[in-house]
Amino acid sequence: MTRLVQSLGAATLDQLAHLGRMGLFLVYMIRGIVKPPGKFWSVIKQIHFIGTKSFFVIGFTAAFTGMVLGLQGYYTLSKFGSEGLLGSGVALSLIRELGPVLSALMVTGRAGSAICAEIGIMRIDEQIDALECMAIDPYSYLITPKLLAGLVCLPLLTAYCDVVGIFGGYLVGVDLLGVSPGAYLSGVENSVVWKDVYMGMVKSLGFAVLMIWICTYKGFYAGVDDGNFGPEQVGRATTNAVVLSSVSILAADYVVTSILL
Amino acid sequence: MMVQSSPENGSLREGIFSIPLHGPVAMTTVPEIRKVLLGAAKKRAVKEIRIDFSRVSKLDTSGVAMLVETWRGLARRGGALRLSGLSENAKRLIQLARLDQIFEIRDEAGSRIEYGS
Amino acid sequence: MGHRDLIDVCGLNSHYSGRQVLFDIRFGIPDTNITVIMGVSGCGKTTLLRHLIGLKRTRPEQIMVDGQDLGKFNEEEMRNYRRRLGVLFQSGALFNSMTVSQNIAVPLKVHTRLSDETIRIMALIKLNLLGLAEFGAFMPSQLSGGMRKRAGLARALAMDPEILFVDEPSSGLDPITAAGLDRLILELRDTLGMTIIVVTHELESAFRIADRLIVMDRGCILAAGSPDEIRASQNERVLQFLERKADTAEINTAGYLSRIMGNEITRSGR
Repeated sequence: MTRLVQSLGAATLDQLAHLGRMGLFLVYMIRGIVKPPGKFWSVIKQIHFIGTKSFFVIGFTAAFTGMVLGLQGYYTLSKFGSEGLLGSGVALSLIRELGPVLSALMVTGRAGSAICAEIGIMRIDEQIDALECMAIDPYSYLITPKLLAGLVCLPLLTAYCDVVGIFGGYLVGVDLLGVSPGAYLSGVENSVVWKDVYMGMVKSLGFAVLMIWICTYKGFYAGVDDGNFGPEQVGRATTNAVVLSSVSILAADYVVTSILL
Repeated sequence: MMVQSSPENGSLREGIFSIPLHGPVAMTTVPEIRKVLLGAAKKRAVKEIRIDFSRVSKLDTSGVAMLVETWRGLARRGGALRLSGLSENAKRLIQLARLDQIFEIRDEAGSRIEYGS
Repeated sequence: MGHRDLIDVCGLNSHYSGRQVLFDIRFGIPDTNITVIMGVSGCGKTTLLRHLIGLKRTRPEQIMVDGQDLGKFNEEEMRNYRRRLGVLFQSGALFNSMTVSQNIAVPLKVHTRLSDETIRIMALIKLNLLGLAEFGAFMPSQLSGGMRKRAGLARALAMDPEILFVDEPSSGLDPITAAGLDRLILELRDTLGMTIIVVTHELESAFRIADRLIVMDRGCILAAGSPDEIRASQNERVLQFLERKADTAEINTAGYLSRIMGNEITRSGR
């Protein structure tokens, strides 16, 4: 019995220590914004990596999501004879929910995993130790540029995702199913208000922080707890990072929605 | 506190730009000294640059790199770079960088120092 | 030898996830000398190195640098200490997203206001020192293991460090390259007056370069002294190490049998 309590206590302490370390990591990552070295070029490079390279995959996802929304929306709305609302339906679900969430999930899968693996490899190859020994702050030098790039990229990608999705819905609703183009577009125009866009942008910024935080953290501490710096640790860290980021993004989505609605 | 190099006091006479340096010629001071030396190396009137190192406390690789840049600027126009008053350590550093062939290094008396390879 | 001790290790104890790995380590590192720490793998020499370069937290009053307590360094003091160091890691630890030259330029770009051209020439000087002058534009992945290690040393030397730490310089290198690296280490001491600490398990290399040898075994210092003193040592374990005899008498039979029987036994002291 005492042993059970003991191991429970040990596990709790362990988890608390992890949470503390993660919190500290976030603090260092944000503090890096004001610390040297200058990071203009490294941020640009990261924007290229996170943003430009996710462009295609997000466009693809958004187009199909918009199309399926058009399809589903049409059949549901036609039951009530209100096909004219298709435009507002598609636009609102994309701008408020699907745009930010899908972009964040796709960026996590596309760039988050790569970021985690990159940093994990630097950890197991002693490159992060080398940075510290050169008196270079690894947070400011490595992690912060990724955070800043994420904060720039994700809102833009979300906006792009929204637009492509709305046109996907247009393609199916108007060209395939015969909703009038005017009704679709005016539906979009009339129903979307600033608050919806604002909510989507807040979400995308929040998801950017969450995604970068979790992915870089997992890579940064790859193998540290086991004291084993084998390559398999990078794979494990990457899987963990993607799963944890995705789950946290969905959970955070609920929380943000319930607060902002 | 060591005296900082104040490279403004170089003098140009008959195409020879002589400049005494003092204090450390190292990563912290090289950016300023470099401006003066490269500026002089660019001037058409300058045929030769003589740098007096006798009051230099420390020379590091950035200083050597700066000398290479100065020498390159001069050599393009057939000019020469002469170094004098180098400490043993500084000479060793230049030798270690395998650059003792390209600079003219003089000791106090002004005679050319020969190195074995 | 008339050298002052730059770093003084005075009673260092170290633990790794609850297990003690270093026991009351005491020695001095004299300046402008080459100190070689050697021992079989797992003897704690890499842990000792990580303490010395501040990668593993040291408790107060266990390591003194220039008379100051490494264990009490704040962030600023640690940064200043590390700017005096160059460290070559076992793998070379080059950043694989950059070319070799860019790797060498990293500390210079971060810490100095030197122009790009000056930095380029400095990188070239360091690369030439290690016989890599033609390889500046290569990516680390295009280099062999030995070249990566030499490039790592070039980067460690980028800031003209006062103290150089080298972890296993010759492991994984062919004998000729290893000998070249040893000669360079000697040259750095002689021409630049660098203080150099080398961690290795290669005997030949250790005796070739050391001014002072520290032999470690199972987290303790077995012997310390000049190469001649170590050669003359009568300590059994030192002799065993020098003669490269395999460990035979070290099997804990009782513990082994009890493990076979499936009984949990508490881990013995070391």
